[in-house]
Amino acid sequence: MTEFLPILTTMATLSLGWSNNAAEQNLYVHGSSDLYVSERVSLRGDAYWFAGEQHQQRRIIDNHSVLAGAAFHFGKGRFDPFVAMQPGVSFTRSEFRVDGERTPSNWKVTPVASATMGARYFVSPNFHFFTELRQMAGTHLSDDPRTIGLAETRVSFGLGAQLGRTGR
Amino acid sequence: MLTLLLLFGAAEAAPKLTLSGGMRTTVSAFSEGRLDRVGLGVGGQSRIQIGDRVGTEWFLDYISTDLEGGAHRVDDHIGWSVMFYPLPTDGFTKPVLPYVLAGHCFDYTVISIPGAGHIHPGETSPAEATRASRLSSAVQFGVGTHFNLTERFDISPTAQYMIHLGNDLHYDPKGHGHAEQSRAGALEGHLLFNVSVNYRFKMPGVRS
Repeated sequence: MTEFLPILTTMATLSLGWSNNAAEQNLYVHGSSDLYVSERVSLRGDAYWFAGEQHQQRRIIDNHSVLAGAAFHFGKGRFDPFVAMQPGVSFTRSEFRVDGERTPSNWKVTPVASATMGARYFVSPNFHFFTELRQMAGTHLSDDPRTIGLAETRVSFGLGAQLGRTGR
Repeated sequence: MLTLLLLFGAAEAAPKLTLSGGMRTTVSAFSEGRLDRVGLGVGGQSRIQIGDRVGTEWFLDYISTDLEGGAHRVDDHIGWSVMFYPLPTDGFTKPVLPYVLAGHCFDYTVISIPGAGHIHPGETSPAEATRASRLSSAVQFGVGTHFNLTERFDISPTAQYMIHLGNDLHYDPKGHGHAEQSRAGALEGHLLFNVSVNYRFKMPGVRS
């Protein structure tokens, strides 16, 4: 059976996030790239652009993340399950009330941690389907004394592209 | 202790220089001696292995901590540690490889009280944010383990205690709370738990 040995994979999709601290669902534009340095290990970078949330009384108004780390791959052939660990930073702003008016906080650079599990299926030398589940952790320290937990479970899936070679 | 680690490592050293790099997540506990002051940080490190039993780690950390909901603390660390392996590393082919480490770092700490926008009882205007900072150096020591998933890739949990050698800097939550930096010296520290992922690069002309 032909197997695909990727060197560089990349993808862009929409990602859904469920806050672990409040009944909020968030929407992100999510991009990711993996550079395979061996059959089992890839160096991985992700970026999330906060596109909005489905909640009237929003607390966080911006939460864009950049993550970098590595992934370990278990699969062989076309099926590629993996786990990844990626620390990073989120660029965050919250909203609080001054004299009844909603006021945005200053931008904060917030350290975040993330762990991911997922899988890819290589359908051709240049394309694959993927799905992944990511747990985020972090705390936004606002201009307001209240802190806002950024713990969130994010789901992404879709079609990605890769450069690589084929083997048997 | 650093000198002892280096001497002991050099005595065992084989001329085998390797370089690795990685990212890490840090949990900071017991800030200012308080169990409820836990922070989360992001950082990176590179390691230069200078012998079979000894390596060095060069790191950067950025850690933020909520101080009882009343103040925020941010720590920036830049420093280095010597890592000593009690067991032969055998080219990092062993799946589990424990080590001890000790080192030194420079740090910049800021404690700020976010009052802007909040009208405290009895006042008519929002409180001003207050801020205190400290630039100092620190020493750290601890233990860790490499879990070598391949010859070139490892996950390394580490626990180390970092003692800041500088002026006293603290947050006092009484009243509206205030951050204070004084000239008095203090041996204040925190316990740092790191989990890092690392990749060992191929060095031209060096057997890995």
